[in-house]
Amino acid sequence: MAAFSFLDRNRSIAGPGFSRWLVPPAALSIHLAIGQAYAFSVFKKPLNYLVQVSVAGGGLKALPGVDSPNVLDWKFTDLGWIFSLAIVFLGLSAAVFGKWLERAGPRKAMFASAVCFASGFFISALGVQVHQLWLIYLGYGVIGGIGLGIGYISPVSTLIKWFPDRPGMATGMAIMGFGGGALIGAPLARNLMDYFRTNLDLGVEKTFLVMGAIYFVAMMFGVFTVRVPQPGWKPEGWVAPAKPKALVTAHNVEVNAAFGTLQFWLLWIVLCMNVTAGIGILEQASPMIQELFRGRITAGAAAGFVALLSLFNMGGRFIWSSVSDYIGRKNTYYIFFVLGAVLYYLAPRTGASGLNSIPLFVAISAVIVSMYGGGFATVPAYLRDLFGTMEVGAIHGRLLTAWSVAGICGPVLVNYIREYEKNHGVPLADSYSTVLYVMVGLLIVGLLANAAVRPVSSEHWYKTEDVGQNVVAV
Amino acid sequence: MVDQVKKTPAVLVLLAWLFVGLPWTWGVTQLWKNASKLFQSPPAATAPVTPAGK
Repeated sequence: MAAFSFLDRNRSIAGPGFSRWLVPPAALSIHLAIGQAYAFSVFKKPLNYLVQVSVAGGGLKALPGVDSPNVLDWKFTDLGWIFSLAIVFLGLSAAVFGKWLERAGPRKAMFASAVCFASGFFISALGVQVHQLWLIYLGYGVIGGIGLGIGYISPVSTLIKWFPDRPGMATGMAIMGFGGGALIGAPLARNLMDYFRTNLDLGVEKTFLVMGAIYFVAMMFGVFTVRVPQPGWKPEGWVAPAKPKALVTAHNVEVNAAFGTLQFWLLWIVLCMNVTAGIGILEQASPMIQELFRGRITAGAAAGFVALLSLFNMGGRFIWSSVSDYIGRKNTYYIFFVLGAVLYYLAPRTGASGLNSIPLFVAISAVIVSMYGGGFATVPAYLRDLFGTMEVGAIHGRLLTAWSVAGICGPVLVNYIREYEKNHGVPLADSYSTVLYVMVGLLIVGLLANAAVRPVSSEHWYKTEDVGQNVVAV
Repeated sequence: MVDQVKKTPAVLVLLAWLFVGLPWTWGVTQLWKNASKLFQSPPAATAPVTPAGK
């Protein structure tokens, strides 16, 4: 359609003099928006009381009698599926649409992401209006989840092409935005629900509508701002190193070929182990600190601890990926796995029965969580080092299936181990030790996979690198 | 004839960063308010009791 021709890749090629520093804010506008997904839990309680409040009136906070949902209300466990569906469709769509994205360009992909993500909110608002949970599954879970996946990978290869001198820092900035999206999404949702709340309505439906509109507009900023560099563009004064680092290739590997290499699957394990271990502490952060230091940490302080970890998760994405530009990706992951294993081993020893040091436990947890975020942010540059820039966004999309698997395995592993320990009479505070020691084992598996990574063999290189075509290696 | 290269004005770059930076800063401020609860001393009822005379 001619009306949408401005979205075409060839209409978004930057002219001479375009500042590459406009591209990270464009990418951030997408990631800060879709990162809202991590804050979806703020809607769970209001969604759990919709019928009860509309019958009883007075709003959730204002009515002390509203302490349990109506029989017609949606169950908490059913509501949990909304976020799970969104994350599953994030992984699936990133894997499926990655190749299309490389062909269509970042502008069209960002637009598709904005349409899906905003539509997810609008359909969910309808679901609240008619009280049909399947509409929220379809809206926020499936359609919104597809928006998350396309949006997540949309700026990756473009940023890498604009910042060949600092690819880790560039992608780290965008992926830090995904970590930071919840920081905006949670208070925004709470403020909007407070604003729209009446005696008979918790304001969820109107909040969904307004958030869909706000995020659509914010993402359009990214759509109109993003540009791809001209073929052969390089930063002024920058010369590619004559002798690149051992793992950094000057060649390209097509996404299907990359999928068949050992290196892809080693990196898949690296990401999966790093994320699973990180989830191990994130998932249990609040109860863990309260049980390790029983009587000394209130629920409010534990919530503060979780918030502090979010800051380190976000900051770690930028800091570790930037550091990787100097020390190399492989060495960065060595740090994650070796330092991570040591810190996971030490963490339970800081509890009341050991060193009894809250500051030490907080510091250890903060570093661990920073490395969890750093693992996400450093992996696109690792892929670029191994497979080149040509289809790095698509390859990254497929690698994100490791995240989906870790997202299921991490919490399941932690919960099952704790349940087993509890059933065998192990005190709650001690049951964390076993969980964290299992995480040490996972990190060692990741360490071995990282150690096995070697440059991709020439048989996988893309042979006719005709720069300037649709699938272009800039 | 000299080629005219249209350079992106620095103010445009600054505005773009403000567009994403301001809501982000607001979000970080909100989060920090929560995080600071960790550093507040526990209420008297939950504070560890120090036996008198020790």
